[in-house]
Amino acid sequence: MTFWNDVRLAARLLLKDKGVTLPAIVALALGIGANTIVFTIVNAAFLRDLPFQDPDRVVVLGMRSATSGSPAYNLSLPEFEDLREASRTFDGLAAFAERQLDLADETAAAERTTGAYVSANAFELLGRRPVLGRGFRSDDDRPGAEPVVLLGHSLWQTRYQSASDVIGRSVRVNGVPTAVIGVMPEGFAFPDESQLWQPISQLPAGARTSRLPRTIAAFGRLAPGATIDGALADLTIVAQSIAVRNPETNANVFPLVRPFRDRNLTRQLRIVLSMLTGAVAFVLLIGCANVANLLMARAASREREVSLRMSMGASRAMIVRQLLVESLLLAIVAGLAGFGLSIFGVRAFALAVADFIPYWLHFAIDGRVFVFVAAICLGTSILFGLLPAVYTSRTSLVSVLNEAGRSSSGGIRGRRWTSALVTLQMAMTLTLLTGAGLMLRGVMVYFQTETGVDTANLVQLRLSLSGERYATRDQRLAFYRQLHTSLSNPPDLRSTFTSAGPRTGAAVVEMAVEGRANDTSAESRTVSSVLIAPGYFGALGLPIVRGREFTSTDGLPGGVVAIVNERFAAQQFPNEDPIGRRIRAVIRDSNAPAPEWATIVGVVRNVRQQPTGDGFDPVVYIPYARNPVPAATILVRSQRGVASAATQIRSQLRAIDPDLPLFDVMSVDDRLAMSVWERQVFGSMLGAFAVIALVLAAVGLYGVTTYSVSRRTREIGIRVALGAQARQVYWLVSRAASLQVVIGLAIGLLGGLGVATAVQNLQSEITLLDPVTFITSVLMLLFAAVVACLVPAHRATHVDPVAALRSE
Amino acid sequence: MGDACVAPTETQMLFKRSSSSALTEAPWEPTGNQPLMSLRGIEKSFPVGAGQTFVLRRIAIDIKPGEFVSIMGPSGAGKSTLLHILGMHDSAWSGEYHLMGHPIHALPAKERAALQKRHIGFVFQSYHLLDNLTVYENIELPLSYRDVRKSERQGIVANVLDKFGIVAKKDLYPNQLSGGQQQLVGVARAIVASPQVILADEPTGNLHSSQGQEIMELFKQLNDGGTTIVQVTHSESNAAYGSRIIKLRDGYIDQQ
Repeated sequence: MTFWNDVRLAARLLLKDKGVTLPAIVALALGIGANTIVFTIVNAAFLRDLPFQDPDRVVVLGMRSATSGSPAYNLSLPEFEDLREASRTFDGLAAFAERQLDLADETAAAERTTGAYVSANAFELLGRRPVLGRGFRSDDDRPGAEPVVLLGHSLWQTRYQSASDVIGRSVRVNGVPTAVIGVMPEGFAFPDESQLWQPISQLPAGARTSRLPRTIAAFGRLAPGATIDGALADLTIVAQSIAVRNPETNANVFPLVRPFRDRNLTRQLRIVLSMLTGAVAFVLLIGCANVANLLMARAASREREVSLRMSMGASRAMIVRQLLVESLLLAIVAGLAGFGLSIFGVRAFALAVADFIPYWLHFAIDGRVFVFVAAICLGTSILFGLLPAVYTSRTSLVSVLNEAGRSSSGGIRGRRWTSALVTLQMAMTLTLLTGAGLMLRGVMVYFQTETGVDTANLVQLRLSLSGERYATRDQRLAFYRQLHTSLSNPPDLRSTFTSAGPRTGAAVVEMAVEGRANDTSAESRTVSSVLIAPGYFGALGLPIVRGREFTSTDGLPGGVVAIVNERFAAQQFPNEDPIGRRIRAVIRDSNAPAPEWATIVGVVRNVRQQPTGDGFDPVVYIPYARNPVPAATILVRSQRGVASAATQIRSQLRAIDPDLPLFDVMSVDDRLAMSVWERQVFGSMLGAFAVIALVLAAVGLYGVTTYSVSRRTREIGIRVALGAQARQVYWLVSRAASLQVVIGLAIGLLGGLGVATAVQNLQSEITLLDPVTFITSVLMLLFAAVVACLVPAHRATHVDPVAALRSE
Repeated sequence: MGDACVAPTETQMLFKRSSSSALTEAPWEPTGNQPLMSLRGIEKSFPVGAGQTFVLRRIAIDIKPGEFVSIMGPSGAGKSTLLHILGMHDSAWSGEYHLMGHPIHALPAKERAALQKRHIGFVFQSYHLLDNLTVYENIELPLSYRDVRKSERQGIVANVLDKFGIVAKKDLYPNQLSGGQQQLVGVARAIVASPQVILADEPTGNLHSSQGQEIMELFKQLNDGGTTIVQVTHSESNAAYGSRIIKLRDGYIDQQ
């Protein structure tokens, strides 16, 4: 028989045996679809070429302190200059620093957009040129050069309606008049999502000259023949000479050289993608186990056909080939269906993460994905087809003709395999359920955690004071005074401002209490320090438990005061009245002057400042006037939605500074949700895969139990005739499944522990052995297993003994 | 029946119904001339097209305690159907059936099942032993369905194995036994729970004559021990072991 004959026969059989074909295609399509979705993501993140010329030669650099555990792709501009000067393994090095930049001109309202300061040679190294105007030249990089800016294509389209005369126009970037010199190509947003680029010479002066902190990034193009290891060795020598010249900042500081994509693919993201890959592999394996079980069941009914073929001269290899062709055909059809499913899945995923990913990450279904789907079809067809094929091909003519022999030996052999497959399915499903459960429960606990302030209808708008107009403390203080007055004016608007909105983090400082030796641990004296405007608590509807709110004179010289929350008061003054006591931040630098003591004037209800952690964090509130930092978050209580609040605040702000844009305008609830988006998106995906696995495993168990009941009809009939009652028939049918489920649960719990260890790296809300997740996962699996067993078991109790015995 | 046969020296008492086992309640005692089984107007039919095809019609039979009744008749006469009605495997019929005074026709399925378990044992033509259970386990099965404690089951099964001379076979599987040996296990399984009635559906149908004869001898001894036996048979010689013959033809009682 030729291969094509096998294909024709396989097609005919699959069409005829729809009871096996359809469930098999559904199970495999779900598995292949899920794998294709995750492979497309992995392909985009790890395998697809970056949109640079010779992308494999582009590397990211950083300087890492020996005490720092995780890689940080940061360095300072002086360090970068040193490396560029002395390295020998690069065609070129370029620095970049992505920042929020304020763009203003007469065209439209001022807006804040993501931009980047880049070395003049950066785009040349990447092999990208402007589509309009010119790129940066080396003299743009010189200190004191005329400020110039390159526009991103989408910014050019939306703000300037693709006007070609934009070149040469003067705009204000962070308040500085700047000339537009070019427009970059469509889709280009280096390094992540920038739409404005300025030469690195435009970086604020401190960042240009100081070796600490390390706030910029750098990349390089390896010279032909150079490797990452070679480049690292080269830069290590340079770093050593930097350390000799600058021991106070560079002792024990080492260079990092990694492929460029490593900059975005954090350890957490790698863990999540590994978990997703494992999850979809499990889903596919469960699907394959289901199909293998279906085929094993069908194999029993094909023993006569196979034995006849063999009696007519077919070899075992020919039988196996024919059965594998059937499996391959099944996998191809399922692969096409799964591929179709994956297109929707990838689109949905891309939409969900669109706001959070770098511009070069495209979830495209390319040739590599097609090859993957083809390989997975071939692989799965062997995976689920080989066992039933070998099993069927072992059929002997004698055993088929000898009914008793067949049912007692072949049946047991087949059942062992199906039992093992069901056990495997249960174990993998529980592992998946636990992993997904832990991730989603972490997110759930995050949302359930009390913030301490009513966040309903609370809108946040952020602003940042930059440029020469806000260079000094007094300039910023004047701005905040105006802002406070302006926000207090509209009677229908309850608004205020702070350095950090509720649960969005805050500066963490060590606090000392006057007259008390610092004999407690530093950890117990660590507090969140938040700057707030006068009337902050009233605007948010937070009651003052003791004392008073800040007034507009608080924070000025002679008025150094603080308000603390109840947690801080309970922690530091458990049996004392905190009002009138004095506290101050501990400065470890012995050369720095100690801050003034601040008198506690009020105690307020607890509001959580840090995003996570057990209970409320101790918080100390300081008046903005005391430290007018160049950034603030305006909080508005608005019943009319985010857009209306933004319009109102913008109009208030325009009167103070028309060039000052507001950004991150959103409800506080949305802001809180954003901080767990990765876990929400990936946790939901993991959850969806776990549910698919659960359904597949339940269907698998149902199929095996139903098949077992059909094979044991005679036995059940005899038992009923001998007096077996319904409960005994239930137990008879469920006993084998129960054992498989119990063993599967035991293995699955071990797997769940392994997954829990990985999930622990991603969240801090729940413990490794979160009992709720583990118990819920086990109960879900048990419920599915009970339903899967009870249906066929219930049918078994209705076996008519007369009919069963007569059919013999 | 070879090594599976019962030693001829064994007394009838060996097969006398046990009344002391935890299995049995106090033996049923008939009042007056009350039959053990009484059928009146039993009918069974199948819908065929717009009409009905009758398998049994107007069946009226009384079977007294300790009787050995043989039901005979040509194929399709309704013999096995009647046996399954007596054994309460079949509940889709009309008429009245009293077992030991209990109105089976009026009882719910659960109570019928309880009566069946308590009083009736079965022997099938095809033995119907369970392939994946050993001889011991097959015999033990009816006891496990009657919630007899394991320790007690062991004693009862050991006793039955001993009585039937199949102790050496207890760990074998059915497919390792001859047909006669399998049927011997089938009979042992039928009597292990000390039923008052044994219903046998052509118990020797699959056996050669000498094996069949030995099984019939076994039934005779059981009957002599007090067990009521109702068998379906085609064989006149097997029927001769009984005390009464009921002949069926086309669903009607032809002779009794």
